[in-house]
Amino acid sequence: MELVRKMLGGDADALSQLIGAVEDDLINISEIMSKIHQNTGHGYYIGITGPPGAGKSTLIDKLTTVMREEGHSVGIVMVDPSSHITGGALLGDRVRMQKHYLDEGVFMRSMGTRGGVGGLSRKARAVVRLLDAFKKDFILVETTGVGQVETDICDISDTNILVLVPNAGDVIQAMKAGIMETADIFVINKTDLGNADNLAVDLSLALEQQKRRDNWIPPIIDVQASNSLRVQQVYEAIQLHRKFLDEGLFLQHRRRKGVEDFKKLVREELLDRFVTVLKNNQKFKTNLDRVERGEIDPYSACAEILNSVETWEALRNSFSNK
Amino acid sequence: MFDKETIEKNRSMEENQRKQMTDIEQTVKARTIGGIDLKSSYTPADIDGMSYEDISVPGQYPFTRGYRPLQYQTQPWVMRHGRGFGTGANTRERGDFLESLGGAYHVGDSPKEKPFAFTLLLDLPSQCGYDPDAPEARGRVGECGVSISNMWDLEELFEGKKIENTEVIFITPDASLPFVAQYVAYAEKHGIPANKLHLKSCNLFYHQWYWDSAAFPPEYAMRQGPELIKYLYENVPLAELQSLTGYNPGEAGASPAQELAFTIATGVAIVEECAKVGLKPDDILPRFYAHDHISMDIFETVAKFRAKRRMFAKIMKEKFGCKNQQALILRNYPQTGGSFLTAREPENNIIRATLMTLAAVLAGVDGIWTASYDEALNIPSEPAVKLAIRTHQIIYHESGVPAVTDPLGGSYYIEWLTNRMEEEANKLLQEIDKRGGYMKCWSDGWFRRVLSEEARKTHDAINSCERVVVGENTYVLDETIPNATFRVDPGVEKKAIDRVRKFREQRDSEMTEKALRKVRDAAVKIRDEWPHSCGVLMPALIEAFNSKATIGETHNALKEVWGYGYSW
Amino acid sequence: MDTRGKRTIRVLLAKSDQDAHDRGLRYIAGVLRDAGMEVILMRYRICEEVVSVARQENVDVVGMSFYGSGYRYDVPAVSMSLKEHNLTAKFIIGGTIPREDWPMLTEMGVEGIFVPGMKTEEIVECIRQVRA
Repeated sequence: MELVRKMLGGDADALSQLIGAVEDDLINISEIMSKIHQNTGHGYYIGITGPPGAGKSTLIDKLTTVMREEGHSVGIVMVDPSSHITGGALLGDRVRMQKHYLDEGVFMRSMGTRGGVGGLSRKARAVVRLLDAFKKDFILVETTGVGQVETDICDISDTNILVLVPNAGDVIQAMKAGIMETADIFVINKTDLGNADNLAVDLSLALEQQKRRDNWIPPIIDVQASNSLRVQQVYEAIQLHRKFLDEGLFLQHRRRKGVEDFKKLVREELLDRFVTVLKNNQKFKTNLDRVERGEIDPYSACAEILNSVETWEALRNSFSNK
Repeated sequence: MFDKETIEKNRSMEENQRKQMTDIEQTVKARTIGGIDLKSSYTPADIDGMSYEDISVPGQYPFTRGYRPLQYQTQPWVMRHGRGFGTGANTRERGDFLESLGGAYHVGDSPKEKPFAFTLLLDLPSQCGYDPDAPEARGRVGECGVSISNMWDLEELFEGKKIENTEVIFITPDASLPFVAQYVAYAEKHGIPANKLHLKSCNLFYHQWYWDSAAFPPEYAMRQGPELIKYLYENVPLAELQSLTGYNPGEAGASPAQELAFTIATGVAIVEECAKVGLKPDDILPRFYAHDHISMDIFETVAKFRAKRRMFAKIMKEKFGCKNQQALILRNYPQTGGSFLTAREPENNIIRATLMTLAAVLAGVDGIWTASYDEALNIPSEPAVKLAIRTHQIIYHESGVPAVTDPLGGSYYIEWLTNRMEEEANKLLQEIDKRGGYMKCWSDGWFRRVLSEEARKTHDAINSCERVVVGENTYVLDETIPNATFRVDPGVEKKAIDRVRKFREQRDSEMTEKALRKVRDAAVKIRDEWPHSCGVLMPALIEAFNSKATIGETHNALKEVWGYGYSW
Repeated sequence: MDTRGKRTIRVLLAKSDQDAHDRGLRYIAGVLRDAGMEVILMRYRICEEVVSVARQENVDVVGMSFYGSGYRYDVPAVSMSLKEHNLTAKFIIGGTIPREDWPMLTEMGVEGIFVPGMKTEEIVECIRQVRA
């Protein structure tokens, strides 16, 4: 349709409105994705995660400068958590990236997680693809925290960067979250605060103990992003990783990511539909009551719902009605 | 502090007092604005556990009761009302008007040398290092301060004035070094050597932990401290070296205890950074000063200032082993909190400003800046600023309060509250240490978050009317916001732009360019070779101004080399 | 909270680099977030940045805050630019804005002026109307 056509032609306003339409469910996401599919594949996706206060936004700001100096265009998606209670969100990461506001080669978008079932929403993943179709050379995705969100990001990015600060007990956290297995580059930021060496040592030890599917050895780079110190090295590490993927594995790796995304989408969509159906399902509500009153155990209550033909009818109908 | 018998007697009296109160009265709990829970009244038992040495007498360590035996009996506090708008001529005229009202503008203890306190307010572009013709300056030139970008502006500002009799202060978050350098160059050009200049440095390079405006990255910002302090220490013996501002954190939302703790932490951090470049605490601390916040809670304010004197003395002695008594003294020139003033019923602000000024007088500070009643609407009109001056004069001459030093000293409540302030502030200082120190709390944004949270609580309380603001959220007669009482002539912007352009046309551009390159080189050295390179920047800046550079041009050089924005 | 199908209001709150005091704006940002909106905060060196960001973020409301000075140039400039780019975002301002200028600013396209002392509920209401 019109917006898609304009966006593919390089109209940034159309891209912005398209993203809005995707976020607000005004449009059929799969229809859009199918229309742009052939235009994707050019961009290189980089995920940037880490605990709050690690300086991710500052790092992205400086990386973007480096990328622009090298003549590349950049798309940035910054995801911040939405409140589960009010649905609102404070999207404040942009403040660090002021230098790029007027640069047409850089497109930045702030997004809330907006509920959704599980981590980084399928909408955010769709937006990343839109930026790819918009022909951005690099697409950076930033999220905060540790946990489900981070593993989601790893499933769509080509290179994953984990940003840590010294003195914050991050290593333990990160290990718990399983992030160690998926980060391709470790950045220790704010080294001016001391103790970066300890963290680097801890990290190397931890890395030695874990297994990776590929043979890539994640580099550990210490930086002071606020002073642009050694940010160039992070960029070079990204290039190295890209080369590593290119040499044989890249397309496979991309396809695998598409596969992961596909599997996840099916799961998410199914779960979403199911939850909607259940909300209106009488048997579900009755059993909820019965479990609450202690009349029946949760397992049997669940089995009753899933074994009921009614439930599956309702689910099937929800698909044909859409 | 009291003998056992007295405390026993007191206990039984308090018991009887409790029986006098109804059940409901017993549960009533008041709080200070800063959130400290209060009893209905205070007795000796509340301060029995403390040592009398901590109260002491005025003029003696730890200075809880004041830095001198005689506080205002021989001279009043300095009137530090700021002035600045439009052009140098406008500002100078306003200064003349203030002087005509009479009063204490003179600083210093020497009966001979009493320079006139010239508290200058710069407009936003000047403060942030933008010349009036820069795109960033559009719509802002001369609006809430005077526009100063080049030597001619200074000449207009000081026309007819003897600058060796003037104590100038340039209030600027990031451009103190260029402004001081320009002033020195200007003075030398007019035959006044640097060693005769009275100057109050107001180098607020650390502002980004309490404000969200753009700044240099924390690490480089911090170096501006010792760089200016070293220059002033070695070349301008009559200059104050460093301002520790509690006013701005207070306006950003800090509670009194937070203001106390964070300003002292700032002082300690600066002294530590100065030690790296060979400056000794005993030598530089005597010339540090504070610019703190005055709140509407009168007694809490008094307690805060007393606690500050005591804490600063103890901490500096402990941390740095200062032998020089002057190093333990931090003179204070606070300002009445602007955030308490309202736009509706501005006359009410006269009362508010009076109360806040009285609080500072009761606390025994060295100078006060009283807000004008129309400040919530615009910069002060002449009638309003006249009232602000009269407030000082009436309190000083007509109220009898200055007759005794620390008149509230010994009050059970005040001594208890002073102790509580110190307790709360010490907790926060420990928290800073636990979190990795001052620089970490700054660059992590922890100070910002604490202040934001405190500000949010205040706004919630006002929004819900739990905190009453008379005429604004309670007893509201008229919702309308009054009209402005003073407007700056918008033609000022064009005047300033024309002048700076002419200034540039009439100079030897090559010479200026060369000097600016040297500034850039010096900035690079500060960035890459600190602390050995301390001392290279100020001379380079002075030379740049001698070569007719503008404030914007020198500040841009620093911005280019160090980066400028929001780096944490 | 499932926000699918509900159009979340996106608000851009902008303030100049030079304007120091921002506690009011931060408070409003929190209030709007608690009212279920997505709030994008930005600081700008020059006001052209505001429209650039408003375009990229597809916001429903553009809010600018001024303390002391700057609205004289920035407001007409941003207002014109929003029109030029066919942005339908509601334009509101806040801070110390002298009363006599309100009619002129309203004429330029400002749809709400909020100064200290006004209740935050008014701002929320004014913004909610974009969905009405």
